[in-house]
Amino acid sequence: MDNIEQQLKDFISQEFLGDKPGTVSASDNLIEDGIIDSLAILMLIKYIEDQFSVTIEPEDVTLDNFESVGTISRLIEKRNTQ
Amino acid sequence: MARRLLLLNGLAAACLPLFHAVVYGFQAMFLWTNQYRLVDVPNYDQLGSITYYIMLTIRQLSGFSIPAFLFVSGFFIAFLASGSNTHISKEAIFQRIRVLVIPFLIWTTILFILLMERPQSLEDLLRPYYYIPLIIQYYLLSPLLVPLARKNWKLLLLAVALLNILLQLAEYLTIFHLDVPGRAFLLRTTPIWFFPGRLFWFVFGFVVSQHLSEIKPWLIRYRRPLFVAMILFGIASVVEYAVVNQLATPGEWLGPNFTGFGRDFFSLAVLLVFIAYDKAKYPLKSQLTDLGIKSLGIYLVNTPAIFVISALIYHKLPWIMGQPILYQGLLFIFGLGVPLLLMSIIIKLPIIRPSYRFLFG
Repeated sequence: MDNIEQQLKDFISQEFLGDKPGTVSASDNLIEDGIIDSLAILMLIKYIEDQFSVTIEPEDVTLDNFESVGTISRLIEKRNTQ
Repeated sequence: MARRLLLLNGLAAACLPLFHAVVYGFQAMFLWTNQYRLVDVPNYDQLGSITYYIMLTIRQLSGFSIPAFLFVSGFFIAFLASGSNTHISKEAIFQRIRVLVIPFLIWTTILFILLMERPQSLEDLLRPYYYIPLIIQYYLLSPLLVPLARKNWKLLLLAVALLNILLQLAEYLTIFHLDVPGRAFLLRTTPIWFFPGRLFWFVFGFVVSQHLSEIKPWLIRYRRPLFVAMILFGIASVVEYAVVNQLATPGEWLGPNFTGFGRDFFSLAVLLVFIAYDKAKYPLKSQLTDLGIKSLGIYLVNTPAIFVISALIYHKLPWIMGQPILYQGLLFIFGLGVPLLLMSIIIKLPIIRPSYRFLFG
């Protein structure tokens, strides 16, 4: 779980925050803080599917699941165990 | 679905420089002919030639770019209104708007400096990058649209489709100089950057995303007829333009602004086919996906890039304008290549990297 969170944080920092390590925490609201937008959410899903070998179904793409690094990593865990 | 949307966005981003470059191609063909031939301008000798029809086909078929971008933005709104969220947070909307406004201001300023013009009206200011004001209005309207879509999405979709048809009819009436009460008012109050004109595509993206599980099986069942319809609408969009051109301005060029019903139906069919063929393999998939990620930057930079190269050709190498396919090729390469080069340079240089978001969203 920690490893997933770290990889997600690294990806988000590198792609959406101009590579500022440590600038996103597990609980930061990615949408309301303006970290990810319409294209960023699509990039993030592509990264998750490639990196963690899981399939994100359309019904998974909800604000509840993508609100923060923490909620995303819980979704990945859930998909990994299915 | 997310991968498909990135791919769709990439295809739209690749088509955008083509869509813009063809207008310069038509201008070179009809209005700048005296730069490479001893004729008076405007000169319509090439109207109806094979090259003209190739360019018209490119223009009509690549016109699905903006509808596709709006469709993908509608998907994002569906995401913001998903799960346990009964309303879209103001913070999320204003954050998104903030990210769009700064690049819009920067590139609008750059474009007017290159044009050596000062915008004379709000229309002048907003028109070159009309997609940004449009999308901002749609984001602002989304807290109203979401409850409407939840209440009766079919009715909402029908209403915005009818609005779109009404605006197309007004365009027809204008071209044929038919004065029907309300026509002038309708056109005056719906400039290209104002929300009613392209609202359908945003709402369509939003509705399709929210009801994908209901819509997708139907699309998959009818995907072959949809594919055939896409081809037929593509052909119809070219025929429609040519016929309207012939009837409204015989022997002259109608201009770049006429859309017609065919192009809208073609754009709709492209979007539906893209969803219906969800497992299809596409050539250049990873390259197109990469373009999809960079689509806003391509949108912002392709216009000044095409303008600069066309101005250079006009003044220094005008004979190229007499070779329409070569001219189109060069404009397209620069229109797509310059934004990608600029983005890759800025992302690689740590000193200027923080400016990336301000420049390209």
